[in-house]
Amino acid sequence: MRLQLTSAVVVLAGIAAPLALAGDIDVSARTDVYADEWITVLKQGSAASFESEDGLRVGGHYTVDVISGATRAYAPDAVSGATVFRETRLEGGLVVGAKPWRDVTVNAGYTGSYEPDYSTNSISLGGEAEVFQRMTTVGAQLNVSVEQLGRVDVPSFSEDTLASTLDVTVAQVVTKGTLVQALVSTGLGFCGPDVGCRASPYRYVPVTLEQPEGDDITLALPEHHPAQRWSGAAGLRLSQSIRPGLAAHGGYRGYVDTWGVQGHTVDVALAFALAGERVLGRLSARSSLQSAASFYDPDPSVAQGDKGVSRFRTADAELAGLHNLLLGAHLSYTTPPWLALPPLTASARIAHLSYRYPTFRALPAREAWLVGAGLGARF
Amino acid sequence: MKAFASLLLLALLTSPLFACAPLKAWERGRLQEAAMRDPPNELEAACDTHVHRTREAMSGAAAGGGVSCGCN
Repeated sequence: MRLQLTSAVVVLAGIAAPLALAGDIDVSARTDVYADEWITVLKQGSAASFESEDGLRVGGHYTVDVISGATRAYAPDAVSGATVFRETRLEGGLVVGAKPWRDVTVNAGYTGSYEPDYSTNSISLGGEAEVFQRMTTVGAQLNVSVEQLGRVDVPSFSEDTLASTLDVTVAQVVTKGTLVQALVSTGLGFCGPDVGCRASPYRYVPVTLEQPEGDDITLALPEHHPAQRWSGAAGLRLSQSIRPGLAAHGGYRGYVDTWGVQGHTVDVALAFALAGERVLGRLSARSSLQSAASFYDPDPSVAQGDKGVSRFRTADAELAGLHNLLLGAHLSYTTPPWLALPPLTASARIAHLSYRYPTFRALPAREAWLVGAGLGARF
Repeated sequence: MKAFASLLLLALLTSPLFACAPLKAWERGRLQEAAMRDPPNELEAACDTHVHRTREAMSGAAAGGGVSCGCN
C-alpha cells in the first residue's frame, strides 16, 4: 500500500512539474566563417534557453572557434617571414535570470573560455527595471573577468589580468514606433607588469638604434603595454518603425581610453518582414574610425643621445589608427508549424569587412569576409 | 576624458527628453514586430562583437542588448 501511494505521488509530481514550469524553450545553432588574407576562423556556436511564465530564465551557450592561418613575425633583420599556426578556442557560459517583481528582472551568469595560451573566467551580474509606466527601461550589467595569458613554448610563463566592465542602458519608448537607447560603458583592467594589458608574448617590435656611422642596429624587443587601462564608451541608438514590417536602426558610439585611443563607430540597418514575418531580412552597414594608442609606433628608433628605448611599445594592428567598413546582409525564414514540430527558423548572412591602417606599413589594408548560417526553434 | 564626459552627459540627458504620453499595452504592437528587433539574432550578434573586439581597440556601448520595450 505504501509503495503504491509513493508511486502515485512520484507520477503526479512528474506530470505537475512540467506544467508548473510551463514556458518557452529556445534552441539555436549556427556556423560562421571569417576569412581574410591571413586568418580563417571557423566558429560553431549553440545556445539554449528556457523561460517560464513567471519570469525564471535559464540559458547556456557553447562556442568552438578553430583558428588557422599565418601571421607575420618580426625578425631582427627584416620584417618578413610568417609563422603558420592553428588553434582551437572553446567558450561556454550559463546565465540565470528571475523576475522578483513585476517590472524588475535580475540575472547572473558565468562565461569561461580556453585556448592553449589564453583563458578567461568571467562572472556577470545585472538587471533591468521598467519605470515611468513602462515607457523607460533602465538596465545595468557588471562583468568581472580574470584572464590568464600564457605562452605555448614557455610553460613557465604566465600573466594574470583582472578586468571589469560596467554597462548601463536606458531605453525610452518615444512613440508607437520609436525606441531610443542610451548606452554607457566603462572598463578597468589591471594586468601583469611583464607584458601588460592585451600585449602578445609572441610579438616583437623592431627598434632601430641609430649609429653615427650610419650602420644602424635593429633589435627585436618584446611588446610591452601599460599594466592598467581605463576605457569609456557612450552611445545612442534609434529604432524606428517606418511602416508595419519595415524598420530602420542606427547608432553612434564614441570611445576613449587612457592609452590615448579615441574612436567613433556609426552603424545603420534596414530591416523588413514579409509573408506574415516568416521572412525577415536586414541590410546593415558599420563604419568605425580609431586613433592609434599613444605608445604605438610602427617603426621606433632611438637616436644618439636619447635616454633609451621607450618603456611601452607595440606592433599590434589593433592599437594602430584604423578605419573599418562593414557591409552586410541577413535573411531568415521561419517554417509554419507542422504536425508536432515547432516552427523552425533558418538564417543566413554575409558581410564584407574592409580595414585600412594608415600608419601600419606591414599591413596597410585588410579585406575579410564573414559568412554564416543558423538554425533555431522555439518550443 | 573631456570627450567621454560630454558624450556621457549627452547620452543621459537625451533620454528624458523623449518622455511622452504613456502608451497602453495594445498600442505597442509596432514595437514588438520582428523587424524592430535589434539585434535580430543574439548568437550572430555575439559573433560580430567578437570579430570587432579582436580587430579594434574599442569596446562597449555597442548594439543594444535587446532591452525591453515594455510591450507585455
